[in-house]
Amino acid sequence: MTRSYCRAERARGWMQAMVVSTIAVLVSTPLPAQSPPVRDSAYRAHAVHTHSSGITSSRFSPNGQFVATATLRGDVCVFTVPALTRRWCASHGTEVYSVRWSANGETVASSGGDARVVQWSAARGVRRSSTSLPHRALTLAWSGDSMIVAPTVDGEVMFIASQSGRARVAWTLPKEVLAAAISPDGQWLATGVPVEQHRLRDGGLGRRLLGFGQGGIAYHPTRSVLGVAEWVAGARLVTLGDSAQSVGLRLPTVQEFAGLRADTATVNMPSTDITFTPSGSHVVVAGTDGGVWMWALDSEGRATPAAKTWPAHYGTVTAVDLSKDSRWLISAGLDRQLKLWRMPQ
Amino acid sequence: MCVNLPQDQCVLHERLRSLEAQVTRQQRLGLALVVTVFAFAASGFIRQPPAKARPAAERFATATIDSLVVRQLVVLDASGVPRAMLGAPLPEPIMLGKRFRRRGAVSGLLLYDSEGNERGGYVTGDSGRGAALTLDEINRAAVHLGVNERGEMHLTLSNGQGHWSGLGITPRGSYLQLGTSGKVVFDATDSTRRTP
Repeated sequence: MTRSYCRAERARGWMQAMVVSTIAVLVSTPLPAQSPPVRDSAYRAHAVHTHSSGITSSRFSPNGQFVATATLRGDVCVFTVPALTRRWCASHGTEVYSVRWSANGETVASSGGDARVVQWSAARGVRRSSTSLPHRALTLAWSGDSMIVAPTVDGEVMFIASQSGRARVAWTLPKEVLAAAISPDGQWLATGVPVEQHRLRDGGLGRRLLGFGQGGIAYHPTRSVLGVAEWVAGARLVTLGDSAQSVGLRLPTVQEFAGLRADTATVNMPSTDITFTPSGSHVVVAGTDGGVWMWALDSEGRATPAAKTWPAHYGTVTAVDLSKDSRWLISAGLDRQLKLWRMPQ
Repeated sequence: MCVNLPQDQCVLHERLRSLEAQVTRQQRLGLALVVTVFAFAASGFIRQPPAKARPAAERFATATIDSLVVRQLVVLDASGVPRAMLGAPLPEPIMLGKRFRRRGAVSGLLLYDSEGNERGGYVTGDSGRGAALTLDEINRAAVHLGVNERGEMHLTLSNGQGHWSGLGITPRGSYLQLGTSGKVVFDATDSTRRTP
């Protein structure tokens, strides 16, 4: 009996060891990696969130505490800053091209392939209204809290009243609109393609400026300069004076070519988004080379020749934006990643 | 339940019975855990082998269908990005996250890169009777091979920065043209140009 007692004691010990080791294996087994490492040593992403598909648009909330994103799979999401913790995600229904915050930060508007503009409660992600447009809008811009400007691919500049969700055609442009921005004083609307500036109130004084602006358009805080992201190549700063002048910003990238004449050459890569720091001291451009590019500006909005850049994404960066206090920069890409960068003071 | 046993052996007997019952319970628990672990492992939860390492037969369910009649067929990659599309008509082009207008509807085959950008196609127009094969850079056709319904065909290469090469045949003859910085630097035209 003593022998069988000892055998039973030993068996209990083995079983306990097996259970403990099984649990340890379960706990310690790593899950698949969520994101590739950031390659640059000088700039490191403070936080990264991987989406389920390519991110097409991203913007900080006016108070800088949240970030909204839109994806090709139709997700509209809001994240907290700086942890990039998901606050909410909702489905627009189709691929989404643009997401923008109202001035008071209470509403997020998204525009998608279903030719609808949806307004979401920024706090909980509840759908407030859904407005049908004659054609899809690839870009949105808020005029304060009361109106959304949604230019379409057929050139209709739609005004949407945020309260009622009703839309009307304010005026029609001869070409498709891929990018738009409203001036800081709320008086002007800049559109591309090609780059034009219109008086927002009546669509008058449509003035052709230099550039195309397929990627994006942004006003300098002083409204003296218009930043234009070009799909053709690079970006440009257009001076908004009596005589519009333009300065090119190059995104030089060394590429190796195969074929009959194998060669290496520097090419000027297209850009997809542009923004200014709230103080107007810098301009930031999203590159199709995976880089975020930054130029310092002088008091008149002219860029210094030397650009600062760092590899932020694998492939095209589709959106860049800065928080109101310039502490944080957000970048988003077709590599499905949303990254938050701490900006050096 | 220890009858006819001294007190100390009776205590030992009870402890043994209790221990055996405990061992049986733990054996069942252990077995359940092992089965669970293997079930998770088998479903790929713990260490799913990379898609490329698995044989094709394991990755794709295959079916043999004599005829498939569709308006559109989309091939997705492992990330869910459309990489090829057969359609009549084909959707409008998507580039850098924006789907803009196409100048005239087309049908045929489109190719997309890993980001989802349209990078080329082999198409026929829905309104005209031309056929074209294109290879696109970001936002522009760089190589274009086209024919119309009768008598004209051409191949053009261009970089959008003023450099191009063109080769073509019209009913009047053939031509070869090279351009640099926006100017024609070489132009060879068939000397037997004639009105058809």
